[in-house]
Amino acid sequence: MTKRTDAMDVSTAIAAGYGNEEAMARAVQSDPFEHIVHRYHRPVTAFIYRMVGDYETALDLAQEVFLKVYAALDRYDERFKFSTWLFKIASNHTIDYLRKQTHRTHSLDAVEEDSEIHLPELISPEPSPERQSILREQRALIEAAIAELPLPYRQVIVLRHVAELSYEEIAQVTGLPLGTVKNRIFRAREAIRKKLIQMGIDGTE
Amino acid sequence: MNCDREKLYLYLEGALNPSEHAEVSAHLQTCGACAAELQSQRAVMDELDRLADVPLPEWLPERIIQRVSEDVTMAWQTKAERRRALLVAVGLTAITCALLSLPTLAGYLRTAWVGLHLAGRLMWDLIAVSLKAVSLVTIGLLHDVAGETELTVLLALLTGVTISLIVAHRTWPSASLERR
Ligand SMILES: [Zn+2]
Repeated sequence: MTKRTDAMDVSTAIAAGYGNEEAMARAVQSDPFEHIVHRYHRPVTAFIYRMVGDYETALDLAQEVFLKVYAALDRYDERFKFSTWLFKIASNHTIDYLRKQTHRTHSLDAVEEDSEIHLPELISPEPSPERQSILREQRALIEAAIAELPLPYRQVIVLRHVAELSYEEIAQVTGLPLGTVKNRIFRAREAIRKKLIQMGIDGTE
Repeated sequence: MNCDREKLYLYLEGALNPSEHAEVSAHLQTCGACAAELQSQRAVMDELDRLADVPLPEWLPERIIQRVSEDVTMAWQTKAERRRALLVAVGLTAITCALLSLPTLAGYLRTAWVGLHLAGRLMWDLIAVSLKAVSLVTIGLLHDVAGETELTVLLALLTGVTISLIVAHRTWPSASLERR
């Protein structure tokens, strides 16, 4: 399954994120698309999982995202970093999916930059033997807090911490001004921090 | 500088320029509130960074590649089917057009046929006239050699042939045309 036209463009783009360019170029020449899948399926699937909060759905959506990536490979714009272009596709596809989940759409897009983010009370996660340490509890709380964030905040904070994109790259992916991206990430972090403090977990301990 | 919680996050991420970074470092030395805030923020940031660790099944990349290749094959099949359908459609259209235009085509052929006959008639006339001219010249040339009687007989013969030629080829194409 090799795509002819773009092998070199894409390989140059991916090489930018690599130390060993020569080894990478060889892999890309043998089959650029397979290489892209092996290189990016982890961050892409993790990103989707943190966005939708359901593991099986995330695995399905990841496959759909790479179908879209393959189909769009001819239209890859070299002005973008390859990972930025890839996460734009992943992010758009995931948000399309979330918007179609009608029962969750209410107020998903309602963003007022000046208002406090209201996080609903967390439903305590089912107690399991593995989740006994405070650290695990804290992680479960963070995961739940992320899942409860309104979509525009969740999108940027997950792009920052899970996809590990820079603020500028997030602005390109979302089409938002850089200032808005920074502000939303700050507010999302503060909302999560307040939630943890409220639950009696504080980093100062 | 004043206390700035947003800047503390950027400080932790290393997203500040060197002079801003130094400014925050200096502020943290003197401001206990910000120093405590930084500790709290660091804990949140560490937890957020751990969200990237999602254990994934080993088969995922191969499954993705397999699914894409299936999809590509399917797209190719659809493309081949579409091409075949297009070919059939073009063929049928051509046949239909041919059938519909057959009467018109027949008309053209008939016109061409008539034209051919008219040309033929003209040709025969020309042949007859030139034959007559040739015979007259021949008679003139033979005048000195042959006697009067022989010349008269020859002239009569040639005239007869010419007339019969003209009559014959003037009647049959006209007759065959008028029957239609
Ligand atoms: Zn301060």
